Amino acid sequence: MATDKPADKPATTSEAKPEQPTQQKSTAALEEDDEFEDFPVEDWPAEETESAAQTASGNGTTQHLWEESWDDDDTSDDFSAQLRYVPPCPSHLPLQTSLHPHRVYPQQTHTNTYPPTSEELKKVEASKRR
Amino acid sequence: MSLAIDFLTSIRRFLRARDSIALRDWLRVEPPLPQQYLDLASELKTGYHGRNAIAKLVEKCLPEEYDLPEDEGTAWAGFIAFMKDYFDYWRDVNFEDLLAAHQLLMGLTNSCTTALNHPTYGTIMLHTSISLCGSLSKLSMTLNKRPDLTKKLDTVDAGEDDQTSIVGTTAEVIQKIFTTCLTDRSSQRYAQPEGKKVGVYIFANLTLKLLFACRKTHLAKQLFTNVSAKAPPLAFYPAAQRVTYLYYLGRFHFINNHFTRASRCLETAYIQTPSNFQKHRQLILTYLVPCNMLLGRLPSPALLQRPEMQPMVPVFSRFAQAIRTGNYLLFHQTLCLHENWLFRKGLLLTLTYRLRPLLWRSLSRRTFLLTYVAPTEADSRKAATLELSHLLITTSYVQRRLEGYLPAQPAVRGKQAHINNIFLTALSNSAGPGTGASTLVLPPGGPKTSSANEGLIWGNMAITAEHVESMVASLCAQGLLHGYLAHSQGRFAIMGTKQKGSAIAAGWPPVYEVLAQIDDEIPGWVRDQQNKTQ
Repeated sequence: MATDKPADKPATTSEAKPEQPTQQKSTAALEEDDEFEDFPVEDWPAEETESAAQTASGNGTTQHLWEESWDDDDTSDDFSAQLRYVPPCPSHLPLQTSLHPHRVYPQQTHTNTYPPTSEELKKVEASKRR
Repeated sequence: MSLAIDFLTSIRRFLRARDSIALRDWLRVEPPLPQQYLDLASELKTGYHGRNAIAKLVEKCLPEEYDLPEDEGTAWAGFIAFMKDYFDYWRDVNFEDLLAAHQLLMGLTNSCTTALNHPTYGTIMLHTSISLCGSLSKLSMTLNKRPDLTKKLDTVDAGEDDQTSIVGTTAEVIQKIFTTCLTDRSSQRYAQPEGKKVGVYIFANLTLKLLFACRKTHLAKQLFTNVSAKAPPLAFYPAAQRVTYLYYLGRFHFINNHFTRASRCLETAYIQTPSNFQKHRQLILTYLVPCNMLLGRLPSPALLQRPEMQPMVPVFSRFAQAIRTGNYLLFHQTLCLHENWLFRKGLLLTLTYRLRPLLWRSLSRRTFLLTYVAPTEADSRKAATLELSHLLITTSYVQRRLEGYLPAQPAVRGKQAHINNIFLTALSNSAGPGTGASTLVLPPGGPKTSSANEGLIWGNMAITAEHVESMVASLCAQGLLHGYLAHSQGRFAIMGTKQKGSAIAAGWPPVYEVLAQIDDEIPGWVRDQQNKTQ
């Protein structure tokens, strides 16, 4: 009788009614998408993976998946346009009454108000272009 | 014949055949269960009163035998004690009372550890140990989410101490088995693992899964130290174990801000996972992409097109764009938009603070691009410089925008307020789209009060020249800017323009070149003997 137990499992599982709800509850609580679940198979051949494909092609890296040289020199985007025309600070803004001490850069040709305004930035730009 | 005797007779047969798998299949502890286990439980409740009755039965049915043929096995003292506990478990367990069930299962797993320790026959218990630890770990994770149940324990144990919490004690029990496997002498350390050594990474993974699910990752340190000191190379073990282990090891290094190590572990896990395991690949990328971004490697279009990447593209492509352009506004928008997801994944704080140097770098680069004018022949020997006052302007602007100030076209007010020749000249000299100055207007209700993690420096703190200078000094020290600070002139001077061909290439070297470390030794990852970890 007892020797038949493992074979009986699928048929008898549904009979264990008292335990079923507990099991379902605990499984549902654990099944969040954050969990790294157990793999359904224990092993697989290396040929099925990218790691093998890369070794075969002689390119042992994952270079194509990443960009290492990504600096963007295009300054025509909206953010750059905003920076280019950084506004002067209107008088009602608190910056004008800032308590921070003024910082003087001796070599600068423009006035050292705090903070420097875009006018100054543009003046510098303009003088360089001339 | 009673069910209990019947059961023990079969167990004795499995021991004799050293059938570890059959033993595991029979020694079940959690639902769903065949009816026979429930019958066995009720028989033990009614027919065997007191521990002695059960003990006598087990000793009678599982005698220790001697002078057996070499390929046969028998019961041993540790196993007999385990079987007594196993029957006690079935007599007393009530799955409605999870806390008590957990206590019983802990006791049973401890007996299992003792049985597993037997030098000759212990290995027969290996699969049973794996299955018991799996059940125990699952139950602990469930309880960890039920403070209403564990509250009772807390009052007894006085707090959420690691040593006394459900998760802490469970991890300790599983780690005992892990240690038993680790110290097994069936095979040499750098040879194909045999005996209990086969279970090293299974138990390591079971412990790690529990610790990560319950956010007690700091407890994993001892485990990784033990692996580094004694475990066989990971390469000997099946792919599923390798990938799972490297996933957790990578996350552990990520949590500890060792991004190069984390990247190596996670990338190896990723490329060793076949593409049909989408969910696993997605989870690995959840940490690999941020890790590489922090190192200056952004996801390529090829990676962004992969199916497992799709759910995360809205998050990571925006971060990547913010890093490329130094766009702090986009960076903060993305953090706010996906705050809950980033927090749940344990990425929020790391990305909030650790990406900042890259953003300052790109913002300074952008400022340089917008203001630098190449020297004429006459002064071509002078070093190219970025005026710090310019960076102060751009960062102050960004800070204002973060506080809620809105850009507006100042068609009327701007020109009226600032009409003068120099300003107009400046405007007309500024090339590029969007001509016409913008200005900032106070948001309705005044500027937003930023919390400490917002803002370029600290919440609403206004940016000063000193802030800018110290930030540039810090970037220089990290190698992210190549040059030096001319303090008296208030400039950052770029070095090596001629060698690199342009000032921008010389002053802002590619981030990955600067941050990548050749780190062959990764604690916790045992490779071959020559390349062994610390």
